[in-house]
Amino acid sequence: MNIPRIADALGLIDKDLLDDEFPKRHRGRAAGILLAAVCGCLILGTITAAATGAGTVLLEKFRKGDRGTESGYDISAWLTPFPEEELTGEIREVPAILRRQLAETAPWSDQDPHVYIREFDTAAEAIRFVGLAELRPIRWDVEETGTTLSVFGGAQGEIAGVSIMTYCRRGEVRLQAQASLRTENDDSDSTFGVRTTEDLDYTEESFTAAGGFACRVIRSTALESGFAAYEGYIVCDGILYTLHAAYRPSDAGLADELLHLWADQFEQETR
Amino acid sequence: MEDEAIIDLYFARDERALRETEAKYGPLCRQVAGNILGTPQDTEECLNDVYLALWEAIPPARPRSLKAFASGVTRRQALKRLRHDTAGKRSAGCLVPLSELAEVLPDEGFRPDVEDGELARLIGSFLKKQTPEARCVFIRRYWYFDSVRDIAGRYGFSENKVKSLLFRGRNRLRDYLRKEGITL
Repeated sequence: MNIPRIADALGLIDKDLLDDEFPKRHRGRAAGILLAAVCGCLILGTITAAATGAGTVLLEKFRKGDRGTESGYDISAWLTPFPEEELTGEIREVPAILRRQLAETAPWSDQDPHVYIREFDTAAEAIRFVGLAELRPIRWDVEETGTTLSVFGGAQGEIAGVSIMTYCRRGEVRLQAQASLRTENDDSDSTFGVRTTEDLDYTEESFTAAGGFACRVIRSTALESGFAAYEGYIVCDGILYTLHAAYRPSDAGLADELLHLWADQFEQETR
Repeated sequence: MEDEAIIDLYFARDERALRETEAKYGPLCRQVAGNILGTPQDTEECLNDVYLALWEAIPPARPRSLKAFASGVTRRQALKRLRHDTAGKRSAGCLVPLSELAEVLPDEGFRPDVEDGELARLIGSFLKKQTPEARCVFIRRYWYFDSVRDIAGRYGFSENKVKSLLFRGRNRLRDYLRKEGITL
């Protein structure tokens, strides 16, 4: 059998490394830390790694009545657990803020002390604030109306995850472009889900964007408001990028065009 | 018995050295050989080779850590057996980590003038720069050939987290070796 030389060489490493251990961690953190609101009726759950290779996989979809009072689906994405020290922007000051929140927030407060939220005018400013090399700016000709950064902390205020949600629109098509990343401080066994109290059905499709990345698309039937919606998912450099669009059926063509415009901005090995 | 005392038995050519080694490190060596070879029969045959190799190696060797030395000998012996397995009858347990390693540095991409020892020094240097989590998970997978499930259980991680750490670790090592000029 062919055994690569690197396997033999690895056997010769400094034996002190073999005795290196660290305390076993006890799991049990409550289900998700990368929470972010998509829109009034949809809630994004949590994100996890799930399969080998880059990309996403639809785990389950369900309609209202199948197992409760909500329609929705769960998706898993293959995300990189970035070391916290690779977040080099002003975000480094956030753990101290989170620790203060954890210490000072009253138990009955509506505020979640594990989350730090900050508004920015543009996604680019939020990306600079995070300072992670792998995080990609959105480069498309769509009007941005604001960006919300959410930093999710662990029990000691360490950064466990980051979400950057940028609100955009083109005509009557409403868009929310999100980048979600996790750090090595997040070991939750979580999934990413969409929920709504309306009775919707979902269909799944995928396509390969211009840069070679697989884009998974989940479309829902129309909401009671008359708006249809989709979510597009791409994992690039270990970060999950999501585009949520809500549009009237008459704008379906434009909404699809924007989906491809968004997906095609991701390119391989651009840095 | 303390390692030092066991090693003294080897130096005195006292066969109790082997019994004491087996009592203290036999389970570890069995695990390493089992992870690589899979079948109980091959594992037992490999362990016989291991004890013979230890007997022949000590002296002159006086290992600082008998645990590391014995498990290292076991790993080498097991890989040697696997290499000579032309029938392909082994368990697939170590085939995945071996293929993952081959993706990091395939033999055809390995600069021929670089010795295994030099590569080992660079890999060790790389591992020392990693977080304890990433380092330990990497070593459990590619040195001990533990399964993802076993690693997850050992450290209290989800299997997905282990896979993520390994994926990222391999990518970083590939980049590091490229920068160090090991890759053609």
